[in-house]
Parts: sequence; structure tokens; C-alpha cells
Amino acid sequence: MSRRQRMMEELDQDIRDHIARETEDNIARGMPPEEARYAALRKFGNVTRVREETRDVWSFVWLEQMLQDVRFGLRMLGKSVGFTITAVLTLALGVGVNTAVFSVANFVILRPLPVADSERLVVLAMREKATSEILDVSYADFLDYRKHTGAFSDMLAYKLGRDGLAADNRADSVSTSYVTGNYFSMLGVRPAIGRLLAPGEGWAHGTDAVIVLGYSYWQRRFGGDPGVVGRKAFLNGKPVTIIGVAQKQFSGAYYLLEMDAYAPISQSASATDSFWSTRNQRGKASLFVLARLKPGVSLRQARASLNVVSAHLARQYSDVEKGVAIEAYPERLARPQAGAADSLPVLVPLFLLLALVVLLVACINVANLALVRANDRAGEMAVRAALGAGRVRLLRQWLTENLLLAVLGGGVGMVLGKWLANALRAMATPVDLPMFRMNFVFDWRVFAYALAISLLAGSVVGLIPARKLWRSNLNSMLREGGRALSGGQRQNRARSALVVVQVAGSTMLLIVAGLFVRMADKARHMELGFDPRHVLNLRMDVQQLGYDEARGKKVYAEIFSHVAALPGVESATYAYSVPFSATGTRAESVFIENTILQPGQLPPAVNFNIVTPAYFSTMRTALLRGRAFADADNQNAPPVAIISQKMAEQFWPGEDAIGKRFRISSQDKGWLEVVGVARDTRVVNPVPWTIPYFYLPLAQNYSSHLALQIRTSLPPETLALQVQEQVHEIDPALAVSDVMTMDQQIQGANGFFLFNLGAHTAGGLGMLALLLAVIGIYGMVSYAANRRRHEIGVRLAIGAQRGEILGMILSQGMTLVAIGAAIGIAVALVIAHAVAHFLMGVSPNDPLTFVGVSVVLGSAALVACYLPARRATRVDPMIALHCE
Amino acid sequence: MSTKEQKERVELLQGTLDLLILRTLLMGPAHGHAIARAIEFQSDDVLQVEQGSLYPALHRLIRRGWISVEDGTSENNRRAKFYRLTARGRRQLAVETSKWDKLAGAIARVLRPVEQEGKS
Repeated sequence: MSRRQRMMEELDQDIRDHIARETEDNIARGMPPEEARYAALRKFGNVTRVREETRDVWSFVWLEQMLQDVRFGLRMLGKSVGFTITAVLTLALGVGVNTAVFSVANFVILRPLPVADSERLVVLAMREKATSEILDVSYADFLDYRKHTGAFSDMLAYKLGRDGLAADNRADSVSTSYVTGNYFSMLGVRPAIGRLLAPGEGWAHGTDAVIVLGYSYWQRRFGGDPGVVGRKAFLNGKPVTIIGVAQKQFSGAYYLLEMDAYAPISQSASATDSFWSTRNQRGKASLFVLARLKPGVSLRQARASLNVVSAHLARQYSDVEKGVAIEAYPERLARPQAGAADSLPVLVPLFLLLALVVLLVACINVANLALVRANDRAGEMAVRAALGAGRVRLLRQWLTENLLLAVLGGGVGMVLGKWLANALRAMATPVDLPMFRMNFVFDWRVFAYALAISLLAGSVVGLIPARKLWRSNLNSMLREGGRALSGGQRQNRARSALVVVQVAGSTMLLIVAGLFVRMADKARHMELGFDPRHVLNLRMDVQQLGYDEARGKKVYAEIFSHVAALPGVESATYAYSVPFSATGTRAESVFIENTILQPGQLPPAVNFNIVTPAYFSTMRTALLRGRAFADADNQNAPPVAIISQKMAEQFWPGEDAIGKRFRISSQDKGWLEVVGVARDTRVVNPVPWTIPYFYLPLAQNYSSHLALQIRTSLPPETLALQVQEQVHEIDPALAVSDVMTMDQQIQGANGFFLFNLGAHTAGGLGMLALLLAVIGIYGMVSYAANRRRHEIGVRLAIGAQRGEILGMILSQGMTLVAIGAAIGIAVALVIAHAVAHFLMGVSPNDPLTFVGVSVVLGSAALVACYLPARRATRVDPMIALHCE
Repeated sequence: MSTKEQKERVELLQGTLDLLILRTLLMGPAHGHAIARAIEFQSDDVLQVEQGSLYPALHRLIRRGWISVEDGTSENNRRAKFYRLTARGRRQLAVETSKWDKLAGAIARVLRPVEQEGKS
């Protein structure tokens, strides 16, 4: 029994005692018993009220009243089912879109890395001062920063690899992190079974031939067998021992990718990857670096302490270090790597803002409905006020009703949001990165955000009409039978303002979305410099089987002759890298003959590809000058190169580049002679500008890791199986990966993927906002026209033309639309200029977008005004006049 | 609820009843009826408590911890609820009394000059 119930029972007894005593006293004073009891009761007062007041002492009055309000609100919402469903669905749409966008934002920048104390993790990277481009860190620099920066308790480095892991006579292509020994200990990751790398392990070459497996790979590949610990395996053909499996939650420090295996950084030494042999060269930057702030040290202090070391290094190694600065970012803002730190803090809030605008536009539609409802309810409110309900209480009831609406809308919205997020996830997994780890979990952050915006929406919806309920004089309202609320200049102004806000919001959204769509469109129609149609790509790496150069060359030559003989194959070529591939390209520092670098000037790094003679004909990349590679360009011939137009212009401006010579740092093959100039291609990133690029012949530059590119007259995907069969006929153990058409490849993670994702998301939000705004305009004009029926009837009766009246209503509606659109355009301009950097060459003032959006919005608004306006003028003047 | 009888009496200021209850219980524990009688008696029946309104006030004071309630036996051997002043209630009474004195003094100062003017 609650204390309140107990106290109430005691009170009843007390009251009975009290009245009995008083009755006795009265009898003692000489009253007759009947009268004595009556006098006692009268003196006591209203027993029921006493009981109620006492109960109030013991209850949470507000809680009880709230429950009352909720019950009442549910009853009122149940009474107008049409309104409730429309409002709930409209709100759900707004909340759903926001939940979905927020769950992406949550995944990208809010969810902590599942490691110990992830708040204090900092991503370090270099920034080239001249181009302000973010670069990776060299091993030598990493060691110096680790040793000399006092702000961090520890610092780790890792690099990513795609490797062959063979065990039990089966080879897999796995994503690997090559890590410094302190990787697991610094992150506080525990083993699921076995042990992880110890801090002292793997710093020296040739020692610690061990490997740690990722949890999900262990489950997939070994069925979760605990017996893998201690088992021998082959990593790229070299024997290693599996020492353990990382804990389940951890899938690597590189946020977006799921790692299959972790190996000591000193193991990273394959023929294509000269990392370990060139680790002392400060120009060779290929590491991702994470550091943990010491307790009590802020990021700012850490940056200062890094800069001290940086200045010291710049003095000591001025040739390389003078041109770069060190950067430090909180881990969450630099996902998956430091380069993102420039864009994430801008793009994520931008998309959240766009989604909120959709919600605002949706809220205004519901608020308009609620306004109509408030008018209908004014009479009821007045009666209840007259019966003694407090104004605050009535207002609270009204707000409760609308918050209920919001909670219902929010609930449906969260379900919708979950569905949208899943759809987005399906769309947002690039074909070329199956290990892409997208996990839009609905954790407490998403839930709290959805709840908060639902309640915000409910308050907006409830408060707009509530202002009127509050201001209106309840007495006059009662007298006029509840008409005081409806009509009035003030109400019209409020409705007009709401429509202006809706139009402004959706105009802004449409323009920003339009810019993103334009950007994606521009990227799609970009001159690529090669022909992506009818090409099939696949990737192999004989290093994964431990083959040396001679054996590798032999295997590749056999595969080539088999594949080239397949029916439907027009031509084929090997290449180190495929356009926009997630595997990336290679770049080298280039030294031009007869050019002397200024002190402190870095030799330019240029991307390049390693190809066979048929490359240019297979890719249909035109050679502008000189010749293609020939079979004669082999190991015994002088080393040659073909360069892009841009490279020719940049390094030999105004000269004929043919016959000029340059050298690259990692290969000591002497001077490379330029024998051809190819047209510019876009192969690294789909950006509107071109970059210098060059090609080397495979016969002079062996690579174990190669892509086979096949041009066919057939649909390329139909060849996929046959080609793989051919490969396995020659070498059953060789893993083939990334089998996809070039058309698929250019939609991948490094290709048009992000453009399309951004354009689809922004475009979807824009269309939604347009639809909601059109509904809003339609509603506003219908309402206004309806209210003026009487006036229209009078005008018609005294001889006005229907056309004039139509024009009048239209012009009033369209004036509001024009004001809203003007505000929207102004806001959109501000936003577009703020994100101009990300628009990839689309001007933030892009006339097509601004004019296009204005035309689309204007015509939609015109239709939304015209329909109700026409209906209003069709009214029979006699009926209109009579019904008032 | 108003009768002619009550109209001639002074209506209690809100909060004053609390003070009167505490003051009454200073003399010792009492049951509800006795408290009502005592208040009427002490004020020469000028302050008329609608007796029922005593109970919400009593419960309010219990909830604040200023008085406690216990079972007891009344003078004629009947079981009854007895209300007793707690230590906190005693302190509160001192605070409330001094507040009341200040208020009463202030009102008196405001009213007196008018009276004197009227007399002269």
C-alpha cells in the first residue's frame, strides 16, 4: 500500500472521529442528537473537498494532471482521425528523414571507435604547404614524432595492404593492417583467443613472423576454430604463425574498412611495396598515424608540441621537411583518414541542416492543420474556461495533445528512418569495396536525436496556434460562439509568414540539392580520356603465392595468351592500377633532367601506371605524339616512359617532350626517356582538373600485383566466369579478385560513388521539401479563398469578372511565393559559397541551378495556387452570399 | 458554503492556519478535533476555522516533516490520531512567528497614522 493510500485511510478515520466528537460536544451543549450531528457536519464543511485537498497534498499533482491531459489528448485525437493520420504521417516523414540522415552522421563522426578511451585518440598527418594537400607520414618521421613529442602517452602507425593468406592449402585475398607492435596495447584491444602483438614485437625486419586474425574473418574462414592459434600460415608466400584473434568489437583502426588480419609492420615488404626497404626516406610517406593524448593535455597543446618537433625536423632535414607541416585531428573528425578532416565537419552539418529544413517545412504543414483545428476547438476551450479551467491548464492540455502527436509521428518516423537508413546503406556500399563497414546502428544517440526533434516538432506545431489561444480573450470568444479566433488580420499574417518560411526553406534545399546533382552530373559527363564501355577488369597478385619475378612473369604470360585467345576478346592488357580503383595508384618523386630544385623545394610526386604495349589500344587512350610501348622495350633495352599531356606541359612547357629524360626515386634504373605523349586521363579521382601522369612498360618494371583489362565485343560481365576459369586452369591457387566491369569500377568508392550518394541524398531531400511546400501553398490559398467566399460572392454580384478575381487570388499567393523564394535564394547563396570548395568545379552561383530551381518551384507553386483559386471563382454568388 | 454566522468572522489568511496549528501543538500532542477547538477558543471564536480545512493543512505539515502523527488514546479512552510537533516543526514555528510579527508590525505601522488622523 502506498503512503498516500495509507494516509487517506487514516484521514477517513480521523474525519469520522472528528465529527463524532463534535456531535458529542453539541449534545453536551443540549442539542438534540439529530441536530447535533447536522451542526457538526456543517461546521466541518465539505468532506469531499477536504478529502480531495488532502489527497493533493500526497500526490504529484502535475503527474496526475499530465496523465489526465494525455488521456484527454488521445480522446481528442481519436475524435478527428483524418487530422491525426495526416499529421502523424507528415511528421513521420520529417522525423524519418532526419533519423536516417542523423544515423549516417552518427556512424560517420559520432560513434566512438570501439577501443579504450577513444576520446583521446588523435590522427596525425602531414600537410604539403604548397598545395595544402594532406599526406601520409613517413616511417622515419613517425619514429621522430613518437620519440620527441611529449604530449602523447603513445603513438602507433599502420598501413593497409591487400594480401594473400594461405592456410590448410587454401589461399585468400585478405585486407591486412601492417601495424607497429604497440597497436593493440595502445588501443586497449584484447584478444578473443590466443594473444595479440606485444608492444616490443615486429620493429625489426626478419623477426616475429606472426599474424593476428580479425574476429569476423576467423569466424568466416576458420569457423571460429580455437585451434588456429599456433597454426602455420603463409602471408604472401612467407611462413607466419597465427598467434591469436582480436576481440569481436574491434575491426581495425581504419574506420570504414573491416580488417581480416594484422601483421607487424616489418613484415610489409613485397616486391610492389618497397615500404620497408625505403623506411628511412622521409619523402616516402605511406603510414597512418594515431596517437593518444596524455591525461590533461589538450589538442591545442599537442599541436604546439608537434610543431616544435616539426620545426626541429625542418632544420635537420630541410630538403624534405621544410615543405610540410604536421596536422593533428580528433579521430572522429578524420575518418577514415586525415584527408577527411577538411570536409567532414562541413558536409555532415550541411546534410543535417538540409534534413532539418525538411522537418520544418513538414511541421508548418501540420501547424496549419492544427490552426484550423484550434479554430474549431475555440468554442470548446471558451466553455471550459468559463467553467473554471485555468488558462495555463488549458494551454498545457493543448500542448500535451500536440506533443502526443509528435510522439506518435516520431515513433512512426523512427521506423521509417530505420528503413531509409537501410536503403541508404544498400545504396551506399560501393561495389568495389565488399569489406566496407557501414553500420548505421540505432544506438541511444540516434534515439535521443529522433526524440528531441520529434518533441521540437510537436512544440512548433502546438505553439503556433497556442499563441492565439493564449492571446484571445476567452470571454469574447464565448460570446461570439468561438469566432474570435478565426479570421482577423493577425491570423492571415501568421499564415502568410508560415508559407513564406516554407517556400524559403524548400527553395534553399532545392538549390543546394541542385548544386550536388549538377556536380554528380558534371562528373558523369566528364571527359575521362579512356573508354570505359565493354571492358572487364580482374586483379591478381602472384606475390600472394610467394612466386619470384621469373615465375610470376611466366604465369602472367600464360594467362595472357589463354585469355587473349577467348572468343569475343578484342584486346587485353595488364596494368598495375585500374582507374578509380580502391587499391589506389602508385606515385613517385620525379627528378627532371637539367632541372635543379630550389633548396626546400620538394621533388614533385607524380602518379604513374605500369602497363603492357596493348594498354593504349585497349583503353582507347589516344597517343598525341611519339609511339606506344613495343615488345622491344624490354629489360635489355634502354628504359622508356610515356607521359601525359599535362606532365609534358608542366615539366617541359613550350618544348617537345619526346626524347626528354627524367628519373624516379625508388628505382635506380637511370634516366627514363620519354617516347610518347598520351592524352590526359582522369584515373586517380573523378575531379574536373587533370594531373600529371606517366606510364612505364611492365617488361622493364616488374610488378607481382596486376590487373588484367579485357576489351570485348560482348557484354563484359558475360566473360567473367570464362576468364577466371582460364586463370585457374593455369594456376589453381592464384586468387582472382575485383572482377568487375569498368562501368562498375568507375561507380566505386574512389569513383563517382560519393557524388552519386550526395546527389541522391540531397536530391531526395529537395524533392520531399518541394512536395511539402506545394501542399503548404495549396492549403494556404484554399483556406484564404474559402474565407473570402462571401467577399468574392459580393464582387461577382456587382459585376466583377471571374478572371479578375482569379488574378487577385493568384497574385496574392504568388507574391508570398516570390518573397519566400527570394529569401531561399539568398540563404542558398550563402550556403553554396560556404561549401564551394566541395562542389568540384560547379560554380556556387551556377545559373542553371538557380534559374532551374526557380522555374520548377514557381510552376509548382502556380499550380498549387491556381487550383483553389479557380474553385473559389466558380462559386455561385447567390450561394456564397446566403451561407454567411 | 458561506453562512451568515461565518460572515462576521475573519477569514484565515492562507498559511496562517499552518502557523496556528504549530502554535497549538507547542502545548503538546493533540488530536484533530482538539486542535480545531483550541484554535477557536484561543482566538475567542473570532478566527473561525471551517474545521475540515484543518486536515489538508495537517497533512501538508506532515509531508513537510514539521509534525508527526501517531496512534494514541484520548481522554475518554477512545483511540485517536495524535499530532505532535517535530524538532523541525519547532524551528519552523520560530521562523514563522518572527515573520508574522514583522508583518503584523508593518501592517500596524501602515494603519495607525490613518486612525490617528481620523481621531484628531
